[in-house]
Amino acid sequence: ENIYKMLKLPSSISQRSQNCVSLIFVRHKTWGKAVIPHKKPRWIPMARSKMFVNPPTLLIPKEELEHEESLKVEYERRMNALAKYLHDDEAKFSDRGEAGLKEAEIEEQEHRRLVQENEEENKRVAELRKIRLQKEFEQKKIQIQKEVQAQQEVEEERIRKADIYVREQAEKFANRILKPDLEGAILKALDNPIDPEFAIDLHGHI
Amino acid sequence: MPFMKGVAPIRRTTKYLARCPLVLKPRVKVMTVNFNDKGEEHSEGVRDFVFWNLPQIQYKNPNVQIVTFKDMTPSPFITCFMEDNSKVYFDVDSQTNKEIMDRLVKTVGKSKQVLEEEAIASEAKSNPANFNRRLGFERHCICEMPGQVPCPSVVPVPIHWRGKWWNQGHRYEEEE
Repeated sequence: ENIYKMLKLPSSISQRSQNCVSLIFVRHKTWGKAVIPHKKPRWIPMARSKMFVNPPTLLIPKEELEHEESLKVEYERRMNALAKYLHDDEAKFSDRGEAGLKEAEIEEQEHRRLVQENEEENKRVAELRKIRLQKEFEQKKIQIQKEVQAQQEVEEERIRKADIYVREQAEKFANRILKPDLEGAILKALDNPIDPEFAIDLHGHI
Repeated sequence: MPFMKGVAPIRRTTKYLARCPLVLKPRVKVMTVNFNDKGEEHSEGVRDFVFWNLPQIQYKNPNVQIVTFKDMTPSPFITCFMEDNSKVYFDVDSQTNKEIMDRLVKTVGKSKQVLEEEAIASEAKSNPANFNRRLGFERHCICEMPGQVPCPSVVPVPIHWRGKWWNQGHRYEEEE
């Protein structure tokens, strides 16, 4: 009962049966999964043994502390100066500094201008190519026409020669020997032999 | 030219390769050349460019990929692929190899001024005779070399060596 009064717990807990397990909320804090119990309730005053204890005194000599302080100041001064110097250097000379970004912008504009000029040059070359292709097309057309004409002339010549040959053959065919006239033709040929072995003089006499 | 075999072996000499005016800008990553191999006159300039100038360009730009495509398109062209995935096309129909080179230098090559500055910077970097440790050289001053006059900040020089003494006229004073 003293415990209940001290911790100011509700009286209903004491009335519960001893077999029942009661849940008492104890002040604690967590550090991740670990549970750190609260050591002393906040309404309990400070221990008498600790109440009137003097705070610890610094035994390091004052001159040493001042020397340490001056060294620290000097160090920080130098480090800050170095950091500022490096910062300015980075801003001036690095690619990500202000000057670097400005230079990159200028370069980008210059690149765009050059690309634009290149596009115009490409158009000019395309025009020249168009003219060249047109000329080539015209020349090819003329060439093809000439070839076709030449072929036509060759064909006409062939037909003309064939026609002449056929006419000659037709004329010769008209003088052909028929079967009933065969014997008569043979007898006629035998009666009139032709001797190709002959010579003629200047006056044409054989 | 002894031991120089093959067609036009001068193309493989370092003197020839180093005389390339085209140093591509850092933004150019890949260069492709489409041309036709035989016969067509309008592709003759590109054929000469590929034969005579492409080795020079590759020598000066070892980190740029250069690819050639033969007999794939009716007219020749060059494409440069940039680091921001953009492309620049060069229509080189009926152009000579010199014209093509000049065009590339003008559009995607570094200017002469930039090349000169880079040459000076590289000379300064590589010269071991330079001083100034702040700029990355080995020595900060001649005074740290053995046998030289020690640093005047440590050992003061004789007064009569100083320009100040000389110019202030102390050399005319009679020795006391």
